[in-house]
Amino acid sequence: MADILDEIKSMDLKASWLGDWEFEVLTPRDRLASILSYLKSKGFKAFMGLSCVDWIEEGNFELVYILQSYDLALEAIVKTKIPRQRPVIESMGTIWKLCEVYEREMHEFFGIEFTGNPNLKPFFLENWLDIPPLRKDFDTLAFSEELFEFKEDETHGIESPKRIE
Amino acid sequence: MSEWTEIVDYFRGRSMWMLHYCTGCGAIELPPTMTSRWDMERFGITPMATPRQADILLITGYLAIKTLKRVIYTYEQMQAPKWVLGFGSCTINGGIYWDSYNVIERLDKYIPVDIYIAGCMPRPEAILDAFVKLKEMVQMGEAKGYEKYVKNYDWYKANQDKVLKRTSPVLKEIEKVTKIG
Amino acid sequence: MVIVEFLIKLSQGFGIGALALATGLLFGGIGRKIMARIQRRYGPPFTQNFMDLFKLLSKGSVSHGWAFDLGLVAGFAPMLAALMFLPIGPFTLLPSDSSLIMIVYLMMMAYLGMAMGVLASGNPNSAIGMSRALMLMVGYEVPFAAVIFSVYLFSKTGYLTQIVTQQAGGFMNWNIVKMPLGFLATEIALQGMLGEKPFDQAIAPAEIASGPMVELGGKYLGFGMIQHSVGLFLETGIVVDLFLGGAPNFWIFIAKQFVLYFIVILVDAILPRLRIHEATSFFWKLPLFLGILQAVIVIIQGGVLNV
Repeated sequence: MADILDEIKSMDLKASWLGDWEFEVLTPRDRLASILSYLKSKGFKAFMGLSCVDWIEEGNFELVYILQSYDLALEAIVKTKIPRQRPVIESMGTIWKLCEVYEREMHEFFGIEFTGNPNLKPFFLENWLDIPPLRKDFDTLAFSEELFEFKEDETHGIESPKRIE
Repeated sequence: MSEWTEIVDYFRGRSMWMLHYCTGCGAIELPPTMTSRWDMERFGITPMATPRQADILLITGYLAIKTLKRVIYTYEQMQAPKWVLGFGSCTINGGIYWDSYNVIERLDKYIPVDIYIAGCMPRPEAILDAFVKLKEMVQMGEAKGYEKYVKNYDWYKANQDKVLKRTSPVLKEIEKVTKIG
Repeated sequence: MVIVEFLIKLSQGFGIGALALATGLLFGGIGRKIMARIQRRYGPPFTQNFMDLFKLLSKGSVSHGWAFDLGLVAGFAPMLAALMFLPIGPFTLLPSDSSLIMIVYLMMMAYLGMAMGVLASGNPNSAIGMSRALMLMVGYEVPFAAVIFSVYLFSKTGYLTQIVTQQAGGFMNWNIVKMPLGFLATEIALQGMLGEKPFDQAIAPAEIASGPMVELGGKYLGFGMIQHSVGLFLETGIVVDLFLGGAPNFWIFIAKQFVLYFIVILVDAILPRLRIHEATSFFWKLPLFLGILQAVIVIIQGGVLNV
């Protein structure tokens, strides 16, 4: 098991154990596809999820790919960073078809473009016109106050129609 | 004529069929309310399958923008004497989702609510208490939310459209809130 | 004089309809109470169904076109017509024409009328529910037909009034003693006719949103409830006349009907819902086997006794 990590390290990538059963690999974005297909060939056949972290002070989005191997009983977490100003990355739909669904979600909530993914239409949100809502610079409280008229007093500042007789 | 109305109101209060719109966690409080421990059928309240058959719309928990649309469809499909119960803090002021970008704050703005049940979560006793209170209101002829909706339809429709039919970004000063580029 | 007789018959017909409705609603209410007690609940008052019906008729309602309205009427009218031929205790409104075949035919027409009505609403759930109801009807009508065949062979007549008369004179003359297997098959078929579990596929509330009734609201649902109550009275009444020897008066007739309905409720309380193909194939196995076996026994008995 440990030899997988050694092999990855020998490929000039940062990798470390996070616990007994999972390790993380930090990779530059241009080597992401190769490391994912390498891990898939080594037994990490199950794609568990794609997540995203907004490192707003660094100015980066960190994409987190989570893979699992049932044979080795291991979890691999592959992380890569892309700049916030131009969040574009290749789609991993060629390796796992399932990945396209997660990419659609990340596109909706963080505004990341996945080149090669044909299905990046809106997913959960309806009629969304603002910046993607899970970015750190999106002010949800201001949005809520503006759209739903949230006020921190008893009546919320809303005059509802009087009860009719 | 008023005696006839009183009789009708009496029977409406004794037989209320409920449609539960369970989007949130409140759905878990309903099975004990329906089944043998609290047994709401003794008040004549039975769960129904479709909005056409129902008298009460029980909204359990938060409503996202997407589900609000469906709730409004459901409410408008129901037949004339109809009442809405807002269940839990989320329908009153957003509850723990008070600053969420996607959850409405106050249900009363979009459809008329006859009774709110406060709490997160309200216990089945609280639900039964609300049902009994609603029954009394119906029998006294006080629960007239559906007439309120018809007479103030412009106000409700404007509120609904503000949320559901947005044509421009809500936060106007995008350059202020975004630090991109 | 003819006009006076006609008017008397007409008012009696209305009376029977109202009586059947009241009895059906009462049975429904008591059934809900029994069900609640089986589930260790207090349950609604036994007058709950009356209150429900009153409320439904006082509600607003929405129609889905003329076929929708007509279909509900076409679903109710044959049931009411069949009621006119049913011997209720000693009383039958039209005794000379109470052919068993015609009553069964009219009951089937009621379902077809209802199918026309609810399909006009255009809701896919009602289409699924109605197709299940008709599928189930194909299931339970076959063993029921076998039972009717044995009754025909046994009684040598097709008139319900005469079948009732032949059973007069005590418990040992009842058809339930003479044809126990046939009664068993009928009881199972009755479970399907009344649409109670395990044969409630047509109105599966959590699955297809109450099926045929999905678009019925307010007064239309009240009408559906009237139809169901009258159907309950009619279907249990037929079984009472066929197997339990009719009744000397109305109250005993209702008591016998209630015994049948009580058994149905008990089965309903403990069994889960079958899938529709399982239900139909079940009807074509055990009850049909019992019905055919009964017919064979009747034929052999008749042959032996006649020779």
